[in-house]
Amino acid sequence: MTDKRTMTLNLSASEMDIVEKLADEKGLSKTALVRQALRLYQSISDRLERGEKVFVEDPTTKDKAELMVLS
Amino acid sequence: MPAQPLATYKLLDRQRGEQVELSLWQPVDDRHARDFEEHWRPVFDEHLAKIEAEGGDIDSAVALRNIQDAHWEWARKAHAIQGRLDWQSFAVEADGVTQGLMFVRTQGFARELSQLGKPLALIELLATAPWNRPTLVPVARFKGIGRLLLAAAISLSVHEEFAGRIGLHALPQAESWYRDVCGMTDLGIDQTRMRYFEMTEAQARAFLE
Repeated sequence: MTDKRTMTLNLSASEMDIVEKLADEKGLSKTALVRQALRLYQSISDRLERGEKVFVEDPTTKDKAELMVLS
Repeated sequence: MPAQPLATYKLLDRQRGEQVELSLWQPVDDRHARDFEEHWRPVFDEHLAKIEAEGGDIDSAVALRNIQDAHWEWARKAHAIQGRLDWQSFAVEADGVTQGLMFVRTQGFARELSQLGKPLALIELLATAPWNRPTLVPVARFKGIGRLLLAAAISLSVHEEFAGRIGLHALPQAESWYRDVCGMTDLGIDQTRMRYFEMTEAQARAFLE
């Protein structure tokens, strides 16, 4: 990915706190974290658009919860 | 499709006995998928037909010849990931013919304890051309295509700020290569019923050195 563009992102203090916390935990810069989040969002949206369902599963109880994305 | 390859390398063409320039391309293009159909698949089909004619345990014979990936649909996969931000694809060429292919998903999270939850690049598909496999030809043309593609995945991981961390599920015949040659951590067989391996930052550094 060589063609890069810059944007200004306006976040609330609490949103920025989450970005900083996650970036720190994952060892990523804030830019890389946002890029990861975008990939995940696109991946889930694509699946839902295809009519698929996305679930998260509790490793112990095996209970499944459907992941919803605002449309 | 970029007009220039991502990188070029020199490798020994063991059939011709001379150094040949190989180029690494990103992403996989139509011509690479076409090479699979026109050059790779006929070789795989020939071996599969022989195996069928010989009878016996087909799965074992397929594994013995290292062609468990013969059915992989590279063209369909390349089409499916177009426009997706979480997939990257790579091809290695020599003399205008595809020598290796790899698809990587940049949306994985590490399982190995020292890097648990950290992002990593997941190699979903990696294969070398049939004439580069010692199980199919007396002298494999190029040795090191898999290593070259693995290094590309590590570089991608570094580029994405994943510190070189990569993960993959190995076909049975490749398990020892990933574990013993590449130095990846064997995390056992998971729900995919395949063995899962991860490379840590330190292992990636050691591999590249």
